[in-house]
Amino acid sequence: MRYLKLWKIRAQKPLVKIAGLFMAAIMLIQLGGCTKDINLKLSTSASNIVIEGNVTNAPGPYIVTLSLSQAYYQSNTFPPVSGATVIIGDNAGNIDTLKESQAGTYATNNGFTGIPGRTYNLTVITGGQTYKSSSSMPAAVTIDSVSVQSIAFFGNGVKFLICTFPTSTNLTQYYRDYSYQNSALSNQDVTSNQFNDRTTLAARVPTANDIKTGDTLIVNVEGVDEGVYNYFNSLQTNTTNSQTVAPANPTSNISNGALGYFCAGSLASKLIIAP
Amino acid sequence: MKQIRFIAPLVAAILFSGLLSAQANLTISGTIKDAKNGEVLTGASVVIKEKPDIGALTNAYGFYSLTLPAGKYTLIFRYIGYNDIYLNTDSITDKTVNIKLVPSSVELKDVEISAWKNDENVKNTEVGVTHLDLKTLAKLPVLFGEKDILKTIQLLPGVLSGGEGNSGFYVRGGSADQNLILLDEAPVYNPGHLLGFFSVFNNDALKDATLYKGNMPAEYGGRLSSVLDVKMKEGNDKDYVISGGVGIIASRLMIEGPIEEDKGSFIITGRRTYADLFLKLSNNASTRSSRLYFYDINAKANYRLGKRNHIFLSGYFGQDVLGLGSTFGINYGNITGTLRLNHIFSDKLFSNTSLIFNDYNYKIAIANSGFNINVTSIIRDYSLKEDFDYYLNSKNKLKFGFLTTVHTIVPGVVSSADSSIKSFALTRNFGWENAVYAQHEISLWNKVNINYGVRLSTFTVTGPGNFYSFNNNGTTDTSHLNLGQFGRTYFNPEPRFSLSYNFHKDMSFKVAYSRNTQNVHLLTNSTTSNPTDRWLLTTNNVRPEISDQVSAGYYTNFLNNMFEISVEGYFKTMQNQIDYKNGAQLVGNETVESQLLYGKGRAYGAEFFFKKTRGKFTGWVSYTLSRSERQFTAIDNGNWFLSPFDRTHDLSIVAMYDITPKINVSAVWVYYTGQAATFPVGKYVLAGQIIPYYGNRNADRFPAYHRLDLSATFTLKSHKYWTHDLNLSIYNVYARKNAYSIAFITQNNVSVAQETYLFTIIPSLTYNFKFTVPKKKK
Repeated sequence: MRYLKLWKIRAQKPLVKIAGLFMAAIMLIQLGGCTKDINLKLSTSASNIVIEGNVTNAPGPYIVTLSLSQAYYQSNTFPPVSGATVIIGDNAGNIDTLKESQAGTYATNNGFTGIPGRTYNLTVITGGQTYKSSSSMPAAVTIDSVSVQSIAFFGNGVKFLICTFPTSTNLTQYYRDYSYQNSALSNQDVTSNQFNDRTTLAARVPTANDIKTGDTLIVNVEGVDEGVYNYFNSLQTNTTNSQTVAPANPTSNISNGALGYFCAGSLASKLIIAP
Repeated sequence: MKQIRFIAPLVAAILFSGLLSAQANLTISGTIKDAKNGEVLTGASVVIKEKPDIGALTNAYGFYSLTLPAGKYTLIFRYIGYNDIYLNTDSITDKTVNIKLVPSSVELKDVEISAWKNDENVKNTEVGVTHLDLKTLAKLPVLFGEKDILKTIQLLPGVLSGGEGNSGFYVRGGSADQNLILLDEAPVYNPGHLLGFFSVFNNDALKDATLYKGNMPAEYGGRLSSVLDVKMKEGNDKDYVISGGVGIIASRLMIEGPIEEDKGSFIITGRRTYADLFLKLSNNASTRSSRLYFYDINAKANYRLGKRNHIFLSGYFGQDVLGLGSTFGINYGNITGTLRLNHIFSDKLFSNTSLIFNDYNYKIAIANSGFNINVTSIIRDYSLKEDFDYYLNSKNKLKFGFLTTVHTIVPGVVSSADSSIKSFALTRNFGWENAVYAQHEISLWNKVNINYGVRLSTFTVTGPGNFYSFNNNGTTDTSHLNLGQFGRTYFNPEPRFSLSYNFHKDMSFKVAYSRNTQNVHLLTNSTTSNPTDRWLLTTNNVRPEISDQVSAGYYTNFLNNMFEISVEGYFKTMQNQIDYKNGAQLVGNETVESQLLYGKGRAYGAEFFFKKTRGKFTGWVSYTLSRSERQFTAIDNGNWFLSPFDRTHDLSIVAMYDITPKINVSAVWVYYTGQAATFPVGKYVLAGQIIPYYGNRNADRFPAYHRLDLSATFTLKSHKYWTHDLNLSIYNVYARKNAYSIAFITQNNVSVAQETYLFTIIPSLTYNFKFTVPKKKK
């Protein structure tokens, strides 16, 4: 299904561009420039808790961060949530109460390492509320290859990262992929083998910025469960489409109205230097 | 204003005298045409001089039938903008009277129009119906120099614009796919060219158009919100005429003429845009090689076979070609075809039989290194339609008929030359839709007119195809139907009723109720039309959409029908409305139904319309106060929320002024409340990314939209065979930057709301001409 998603994304953007081209043709002006910042009055909801937790099969400690949402027009300072009780357990009966290493950042304490096949549970207790989540860590993923490819898109060569890895032909499997480009973390993307009938899957991995020759790129692919996939898939739908679509908040796998996600992912990484 | 399918009330004396049974009747029927070009006239009237309350109107094919008590009468044949013809019944030898009306000259026009009692809008039973005057349309300002009927109807009460410069429209709180747009009886699934900036209707080829805002007579059905019935011209059956226009981005050419004088004619119109020529000026190679144009062709021919048969063949073919360099391309277009036979069984029974074909398709081609894919999708219908008009007597008229349609949808065929990409086709969908209808128009006591009827519609899920059952966890069951096997059938009786009460000579009160159903559904998660939006038929999961609308209105004309005022209110409920789950995957999904949510809708409003119909200064003011809401269990905890088709206020002011007979100026000002939308109520950080936190569905609004357009039309010096004019239009005169979309962007620690606007001020110039080929002297 990877390429269908690419089709969707690539079909949407050129349509917008065609509209732009059309207007440019009409008005004999150059492309773009038809935007302006507007003074739009927005209502503000009460601050909501944001939970982000990750467990992998790479050595820990694993981090859970707690913060609060902010009014939209405020600056990007998100108050950390301190003093919470944060517990991660698994279906083998192990339990770890996390330690707050800095305000709002909680780290695993007893040095456990995630094991593919197990289900991990997160419990966060703060402000009289309890938030729960659980996430299963699928079988370990291995990366076949990582390459930088380029396409001619609208007169410019655009480079992107392609990662291939083995997948099942009869089981539906979900993956999350992201990269570090010279240590800058990219957005998270997800893919599935749902419409793939091959034993390998190729994913286009997002990068923080345009790829330049000599960049150090670390590609991470994690096998994830359906809940995590749905979270990132709906997050991506809501952030990449234009605002004429009715946007909605992504469907979290955490209970009690918390924003964010808890992900147990079987991680594979590979480093390349962009050619 | 043109009127159709209406019989003026019978004089009360006849009703009560019992003469009907005592005396033999005289029935006169025939066709009324334009003497100059042979086009049949729809809504032309026949009135009796001695009994001014008896009369008949021609139907959509120019046919009329009038039954009177035997006697001597003077018949008056009349139509707006034409000279009356008087005919004494003594002089009639044949009961078939075909009439050719001569267009009145400009100087006589005012006199003629005032002689015409243009009060049908008060007397008939039509509620929420507008007969569009295409001649008025020619004077209005236009965007890019293209006259566009779909943009003109947005200036009417109860009709909302689908967005800046867009030909899409919403009627009384319904979505765009709830409008049935007919071109010579064939449905047009995507009425927009170039992403909706132009409509598929080339104004030159059109004869007339009628918009029904929900209270349609029983002869129409299949969509919830409206029917826009557009008829193409038949072509001049006297002279060969070449006409056309040259504009800044499009040119048009039309050729019409007789196949055989007075017996048959043809018309061909073509149009092409050349916006892409400007792209060649770019210094970017990819921009230069981009494709950006559309063309369309309308063609029609008709021929009379003897006195009783008239055959018509009409077609439309349009194609959009859009592409960015060699990396991305999309072609899409509509094809329609209608073969029609009018047959006059007797002077009281008229029939029309139509074979209808329509097809909408798109092809996407994406070619990048390492990535090559083609996607094709088609929606196609084959229909057979039969309509009978039975003119019982001058008080009673019956209409009945049927429509049968086979729908085929090819949701997507993906192919690729690239070996790494799997080619596949989504399962085709088939459906069989049937409807029979009957309606009775009756006039009582010369004051009350009633039109009631029923449409019985069925939709049968048809094989071959796979049908799925779902629960919250996914697909639970798959069943397969083979070719020729039928699945579930939905049966829906759709009652229709409307009544007018003329409590005063120039005033009436009307009420109407109608139920409509819909079995083709458009899946779009955007308010702007997208050529790749997916159509879905009714299935075991997707139920027929059903609407019930009640309307009431007050209508009055004054100063000898120079002014019209109408006030209409409506309340509409909608069942089985469709929305999507959060993060729904609509593209390339075999089980797309698993992504859908079903809910209900309601819409209500008041529409005010004031029009000055004649004089040097003409125009109208239209104001709508309305609300449109939806309710889905899975959205906002099942609370009612505003639909994207909700605008609280919608105001249009249209003014036209004839400075001299040769110079006309016009102005249009529109204002409407911004569309309902979902905006952030906060933001949060996740993995270093700033993410907007959205509030309740459609709880916010875009800024209000307003715009002024101006236009001037100069009729240039005409010659014997040659007439021409020049139109200058200025769109968005005060360059208002209306928001087309709003994005929420956080950069450098600052979060902003950023609007995209499409057009500021856009002038355009169009030159139109008409050349009549001189006849050879015999």
